[in-house]
Amino acid sequence: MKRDVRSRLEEISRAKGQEFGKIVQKLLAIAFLEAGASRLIERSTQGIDLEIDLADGRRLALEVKTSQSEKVSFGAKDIKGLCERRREGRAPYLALLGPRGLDDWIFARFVDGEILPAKDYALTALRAYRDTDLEDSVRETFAAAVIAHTTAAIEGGQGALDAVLRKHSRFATA
Amino acid sequence: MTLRLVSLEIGCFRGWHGPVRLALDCPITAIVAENGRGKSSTLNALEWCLYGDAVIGKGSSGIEERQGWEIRPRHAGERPTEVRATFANGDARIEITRQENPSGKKSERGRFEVRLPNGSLRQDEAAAVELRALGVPDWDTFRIAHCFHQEAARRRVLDSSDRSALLAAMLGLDEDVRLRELLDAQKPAAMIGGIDDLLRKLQSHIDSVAGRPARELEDATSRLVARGLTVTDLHAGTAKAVRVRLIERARTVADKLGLAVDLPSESDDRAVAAWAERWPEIARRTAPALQPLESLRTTLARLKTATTQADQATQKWQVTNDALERSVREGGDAEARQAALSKAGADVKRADDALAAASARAAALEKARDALARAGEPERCPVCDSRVVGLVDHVAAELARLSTAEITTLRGALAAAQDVVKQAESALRDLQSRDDAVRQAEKWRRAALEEVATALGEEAAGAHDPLAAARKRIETTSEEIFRLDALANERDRALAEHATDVVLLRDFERWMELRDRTERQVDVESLPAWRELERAIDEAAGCASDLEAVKEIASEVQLERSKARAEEVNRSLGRYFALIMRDDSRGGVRVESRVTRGKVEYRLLGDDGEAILPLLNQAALNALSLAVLFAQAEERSRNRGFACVLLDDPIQSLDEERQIGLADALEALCRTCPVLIGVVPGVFSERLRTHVSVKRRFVTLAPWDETRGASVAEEVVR
Repeated sequence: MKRDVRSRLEEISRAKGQEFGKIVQKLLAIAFLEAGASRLIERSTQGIDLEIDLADGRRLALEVKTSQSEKVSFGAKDIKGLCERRREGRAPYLALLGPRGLDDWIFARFVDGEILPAKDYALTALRAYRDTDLEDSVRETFAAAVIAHTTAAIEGGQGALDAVLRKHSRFATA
Repeated sequence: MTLRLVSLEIGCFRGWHGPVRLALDCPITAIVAENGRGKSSTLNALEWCLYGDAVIGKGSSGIEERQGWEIRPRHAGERPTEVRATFANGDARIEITRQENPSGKKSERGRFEVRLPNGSLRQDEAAAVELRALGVPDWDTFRIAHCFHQEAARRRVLDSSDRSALLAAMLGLDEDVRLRELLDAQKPAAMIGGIDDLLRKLQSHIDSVAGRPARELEDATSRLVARGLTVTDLHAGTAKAVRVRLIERARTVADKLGLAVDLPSESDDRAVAAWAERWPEIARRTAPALQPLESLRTTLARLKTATTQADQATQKWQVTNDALERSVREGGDAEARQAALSKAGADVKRADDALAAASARAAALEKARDALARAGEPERCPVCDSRVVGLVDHVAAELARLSTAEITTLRGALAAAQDVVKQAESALRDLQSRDDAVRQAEKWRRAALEEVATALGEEAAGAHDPLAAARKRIETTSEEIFRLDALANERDRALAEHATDVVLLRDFERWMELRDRTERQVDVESLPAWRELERAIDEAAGCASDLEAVKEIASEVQLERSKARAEEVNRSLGRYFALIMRDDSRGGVRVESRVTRGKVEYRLLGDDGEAILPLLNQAALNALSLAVLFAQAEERSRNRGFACVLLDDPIQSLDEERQIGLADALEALCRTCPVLIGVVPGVFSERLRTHVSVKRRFVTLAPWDETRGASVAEEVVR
């Protein structure tokens, strides 16, 4: 990840604390929309974080996690939600962002039975499941979203980014 | 295929100085001798033949007492150490030979070869591979699954790692254990940890490489923050906003100044930078709107000077004219003054004539007096020749009167008349000079007004009052100059702001250059090597993940197979333990498998389902150790093709009853697996001789000789 983008994320994290994860989730949503997703639903309360229909017809379900360490774990609800989305015909993914300078988004394909709840997984270990093409598709738009909306995120938090998302006709909340 | 040991040839190995050939083709071969005669050397020779240096030393052998072990006898001299073990597989023979020469290059001293039934020879590493392929286990397995060493008698059951490996081997799962160990040796978790270490080091290196550019970037950032920008303002959009501001400001100024300029596009950084450098000079030099300013100033200055002079001249004329009029009022005009002068002049003439007359009379009187004085007749008038009494006195008196009073008075009158003339002349001159002054002032005034008219130019022609017109013109010109000055000030302010923005833009562009340079220096993403590294890391992570998955699967499979094999093996184990202990009630010992931290571990339990080891005394532990050994040796000989058990003085801690039990157990074992055993003469060896019904060979060793070493005293087959 570019140093400028990384330093902006660090600034947002320092300013917004616990809200950081949700803010990053919304920036990722903006990135997907800017990259051409034909539909994107954000679930703010329960269920999988993002449901995305890509322009090429693929349908995804993303569970977004930002980690402040080199490890990440998943709740039983997260696992269950991903399994349900798979049954509905969506490809389930874990969207992971670590804290290190060299960390970039890892979009790990979720494989039922291989990711267990309440177990710590090294982010590096989850690289085995990466979909690098999907990561490449939003790399530039995510960087642009962070740069464009750093001030809004710091000053307005989630609400400010929700206003940005609502301007996209292909965005909806559930 | 089952390999069985049939013979052992030993030469110059530990206790054996000279060559010896021992036939080992009976189910039981017992090397009987007191301690120190070469029993252990015989068993060790087979181990060394199969495994070489692995059996030497504490670390490699796993046997603590082998620290500092030597394989060559002290008096061996130049004789090579050589041991040959011959195995049979049916009628086929496989010879395994290991030799060590005392001299020559270290790399060439050893020789290890396997001669196959077809006569082909395998050497060194290939020989070792061949042995594994034939089913000969590796040293670690052999040590715990085929040997009983007095130095480590109970270790196989007391040492948890040995015990677990042995019990797994007993269940026929040593390959599973080996697979698990192999997988553990790959250390997938450590692999991930190593990758994380690598990434941390790389990040640290990047931070240090980016150190100087990062500091320059920090300085540049601080300068921009000092100018009022925030960190979130630092992006290309802000630079563009500054360029837009520069251009819009210049456009406004150009419109006001009447300048026709080509302004660059705000998106063309270089064009904007080049134009920004030139703009101040252009704005100052060629502004049409401001061009009249200098001429206006010149005109204004001229008008002001002219009107000031005209005003002064007018004032001067007024003053002089007033003075002239006042003088005329007071002293009359020129005609009157001339008349006064003329009169005064006439008065002077009359006074002068009077005085002259008086003076002439006086002179005549004086002549008369003189004449009278000279004449002899002072009273005769020289003029009329008449006699006048007292003529002299009368003349003297008249002369005195003329001299003292009349002439004096006439002189006074003349002086007074002359004064009056002077005054009249002065008054006239004064009037003249005032008139001249007025004329001069009038002349100046006319000149000043002409100058005003000249300064006015064409406008003067239609002006009734050029001076008023000039004043009005001064007013309008001043207003126009004020307006143009304000425009010029506005231009100058705009140019000052332009200069500030140019510096800001320059700093901003410098900041972006530093940022880009820092990004390039730390932007590993753009490097092909980074993509390669990422792919390698992803593959390594995939490998680690696969290894973890295989480990889990291997553990599950091992556990399932353990459970499948346990019943049969436990029967064998229980039987041997009961035989050795000579107590059927002790047959309940069994092996239990369970998964602990992802690994399958094995325990020995008693009838009550509890761990049995803490309850056993030394003898029972030995007995159990032997029972475990026998059970797995039996299993291996049935299923793995390698049938061989070495027992070096196994009767330690066993009382006579248990020694008898051991003999019974050996009798049961040797039906499936040949036994080579070293024992001291006693109850056990006798039991073997007299109560074991299988074919057995007894090799009795002679007392050990310092020169000859060990030797065979007797060899009997029963």
